[in-house]
Amino acid sequence: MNVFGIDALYYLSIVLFLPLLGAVVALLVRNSAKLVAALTAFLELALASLLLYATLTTNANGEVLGAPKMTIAVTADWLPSFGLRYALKSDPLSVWLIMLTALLLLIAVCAPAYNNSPHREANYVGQPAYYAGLLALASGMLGVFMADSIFLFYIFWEAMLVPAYFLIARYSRERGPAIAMRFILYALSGGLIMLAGFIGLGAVVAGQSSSFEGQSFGFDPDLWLQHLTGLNIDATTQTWLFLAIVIGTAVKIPLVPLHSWLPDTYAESPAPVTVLIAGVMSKTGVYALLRFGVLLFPLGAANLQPWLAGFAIATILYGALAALEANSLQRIAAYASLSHMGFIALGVISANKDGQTGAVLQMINHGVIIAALFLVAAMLERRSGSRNLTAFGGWGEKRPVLATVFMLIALATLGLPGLSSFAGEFLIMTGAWQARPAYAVLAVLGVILAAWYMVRMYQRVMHGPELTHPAPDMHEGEMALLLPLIVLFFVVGVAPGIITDSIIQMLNTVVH
Amino acid sequence: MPNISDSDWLSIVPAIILAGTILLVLLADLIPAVKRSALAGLSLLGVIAALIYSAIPLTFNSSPTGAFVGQVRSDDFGWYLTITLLVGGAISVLVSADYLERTNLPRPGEYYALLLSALLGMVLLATAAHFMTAFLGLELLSLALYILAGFAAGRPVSREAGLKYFMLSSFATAFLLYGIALLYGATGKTGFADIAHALTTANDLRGGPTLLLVGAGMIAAGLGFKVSAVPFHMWTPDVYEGSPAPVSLLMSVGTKTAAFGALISVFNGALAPMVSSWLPLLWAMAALTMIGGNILALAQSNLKRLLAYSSVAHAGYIVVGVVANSREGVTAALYYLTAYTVMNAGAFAVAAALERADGTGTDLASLRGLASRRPGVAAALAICLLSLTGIPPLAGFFGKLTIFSAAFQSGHAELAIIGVLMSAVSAYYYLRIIAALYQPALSPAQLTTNADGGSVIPDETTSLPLTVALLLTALGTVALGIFVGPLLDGATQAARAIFPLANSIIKVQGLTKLTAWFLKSTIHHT
Repeated sequence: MNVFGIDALYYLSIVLFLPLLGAVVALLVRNSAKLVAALTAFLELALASLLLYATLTTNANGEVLGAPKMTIAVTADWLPSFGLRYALKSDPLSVWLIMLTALLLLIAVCAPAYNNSPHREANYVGQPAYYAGLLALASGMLGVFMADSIFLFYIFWEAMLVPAYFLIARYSRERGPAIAMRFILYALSGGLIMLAGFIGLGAVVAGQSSSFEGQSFGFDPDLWLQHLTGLNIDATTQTWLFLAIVIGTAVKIPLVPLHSWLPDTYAESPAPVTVLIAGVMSKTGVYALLRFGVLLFPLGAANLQPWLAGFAIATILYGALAALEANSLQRIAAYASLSHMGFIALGVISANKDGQTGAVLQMINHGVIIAALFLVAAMLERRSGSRNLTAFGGWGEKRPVLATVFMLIALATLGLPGLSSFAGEFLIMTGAWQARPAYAVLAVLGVILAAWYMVRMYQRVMHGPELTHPAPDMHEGEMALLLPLIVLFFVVGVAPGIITDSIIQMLNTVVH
Repeated sequence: MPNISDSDWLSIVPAIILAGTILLVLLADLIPAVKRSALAGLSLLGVIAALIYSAIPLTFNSSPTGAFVGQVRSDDFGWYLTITLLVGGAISVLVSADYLERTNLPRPGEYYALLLSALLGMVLLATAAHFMTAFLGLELLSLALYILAGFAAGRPVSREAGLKYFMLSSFATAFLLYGIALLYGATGKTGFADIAHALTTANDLRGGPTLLLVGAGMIAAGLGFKVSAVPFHMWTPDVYEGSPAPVSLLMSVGTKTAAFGALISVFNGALAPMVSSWLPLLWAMAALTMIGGNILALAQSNLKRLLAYSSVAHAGYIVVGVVANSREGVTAALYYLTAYTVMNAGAFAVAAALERADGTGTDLASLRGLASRRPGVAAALAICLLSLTGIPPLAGFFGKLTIFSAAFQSGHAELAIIGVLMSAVSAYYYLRIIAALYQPALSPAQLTTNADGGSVIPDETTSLPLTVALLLTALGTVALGIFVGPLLDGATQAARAIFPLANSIIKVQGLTKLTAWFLKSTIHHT
């Protein structure tokens, strides 16, 4: 299989490891680390765009009989005697997330680090390790989306925590090590429980399949996936295995009550790190829940659906109420993100095509919107020197660009029709209603609350009596940073079909 | 005299080389002009020569019961463990070279001779096919380690460590010996293969199942002490903390590997026919060790003490492999032992590099900001600790993966789940160290002043042998993870000596060892 004349194995590997390579180079050149990082991220975005094109046009008309549409899958032996493969895949489910990762990586490395608060002993901005960390984190997350072997997936799932840990621990505004410790303990514990689920799945498959005879350990994902439909794992076993995977993913999404690492991590990390963690890493959780949870264990998912839907709705409502209560820009954004991730999880759990399509679409939207929200919050904080809503007021009068941009982001967050979130949330609601009308009824409260907390945030900053403050309007650099994201609000808002068509096609072939 | 062939001698060549090196070191020590570094070099050469011999694939006839009329293993299982032990030994010698130079410990000749004796004892214990050889090896390694633990006689903690290890270990050895006697009483045999045979034929058993069970329990206690399994782990933290760090290194990786070799040989080999009776015993040992080691490690603030509890925890994971009582389980345990040898030796090598002549320098406060003072050393420690945590794609991850997977396959899902949960707990104490490494440093004044002012050479130098040891362990930890294939194939091959493939007769045609596995798998890959 080829991508633009290059063997797909190499092309996918380049897309996967280019940021990591950039990280090494950034560490070596030191002085111009930011330049190296920006160039790497730009190249990565270009390669990812080409991959997107190639994926969506692969056998789009079904030229090769039996070949899966819109899927580029490659595999190479890694450890044959162990049944391990180095297998990568790009299909509509993952390729949009690869695009999102590449885009947000570019924005994260180009953005200022926004962490020069008075509390810091030293300002780390410009340090090569910072840029290397961002790049390595991107590689880890790309690996999660691209892996076509449960085993390889798990390796990236855990490995991406290492750069994230160092980024949070070293560059946070305050209490970095403590916050990073909580973050990684949650994520590792969840990941290990997930690993137990995968090992259990391996044992179940190995126990039922004769093709594993003579092999010590069965970690051949292709065999697993082929056999799973034929294997008839009973509902009880499925439920337990699914539960293990849900716990691992629920920490990353996160779902209430496994969310307590989130507010500090999102609020205290430098904005670019939050852009990657809130924008992309939370999506790895939903992605895994969909691909390795709901699609793999339909009976288990059906058994646990009421519980999971309950937790997702709790997440939506808790996040929204906490955002209403919060007074710091970053914390409002963090809780808003939590609330919206609850919607996405609900879409996945509703286990029907509408809900899942909406969830995938909303993953992209949420990534774009939340990145913009955290960046604009950081820009506001940089101007006022404070993150508290009380430090703002009446800023809209003299800063029209800032006010407009902030308004657009707020409207996109609350799901105004015509902007990107609307289509995604609408599909999720439809899916949730089909699963059980009560889900949709309860979840819709979250939409109302979203309007409330976003408008509250906007009003407190931009309206009211003006506080005399010499803060300037947005400058060109900041506009350039946010422009691609805002353009996407409109493009996806007007034509969500760009994304959803391919996903619906894919889900048609996966879900029977 | 029973006929002893050349192949019998060939299968103990590594032990002979080690014994010869011990004599050479003692001889060289008599010449005043010979410096410490020369003694270190000589010891290293001996270990490497033994390692090279063990790793070269040779083909000669060998009896399935073992060399010297069933005394010593001459199968892949023995060779695999020998190689692992010698790797650990070589790293220990390298680290010792730096440590002795820096802390100015007296009597280096005796030190290296004892270190090599301990290593020789470990090799004998791991490759024993008979309780007599096993006991001989165990005593040899213990006696050498008693003295080594107290070798830094200037420090009270070191003397305490030596005495404590001696007292408790003698007690445990007595248990082991009593267990051997009871097994002999029940079966009339002391060779592992003979015992297994006697148990399967069952009509020449005396004293009934009670005698056997008590005997097996005593042996589990004796070997459990050596691998520091809960509840026989009490000595571990004090001895590891008090001993000179390179000795703790050898104790943690070498003694564990050797004693696990014996544990597997005895329980998965000799006592395999009575698996249902010893299973609850080892099951409890595995569960308690995983839980106890990890929980107790949480409160530690000294690197050496923390590594001691962590070594208890890792013993627990490996016991799970023994409990699985299958080829997968033994494969996993063997792979884990090698991975553990490399990563734990790396962590202890850093402890040795930081330890000052007065025994201080390894507490959490001294580790703060190490990354800015000695980035290489800090990075090596970080890699080894991440691997001990089980972060993919490092060696420790594959160790845990294979162990838990073997547990699942043999129907012990509950042990795998305990292990997984405890791994999550372990992340906290390993990461705490890593967090300290990468925190801003304390001021230089806070670092150099210490109560005795005893540091001879300031922290900031990293000598050549230490650099080599750190490079070997850190890169090895990464390489054993990413290129996990050859080693895992090797472990599988070795495990077949304990659990032969179902449809093939026990047939030891020759020695296919690490190099051969490596060549094979490389060819296979290309």
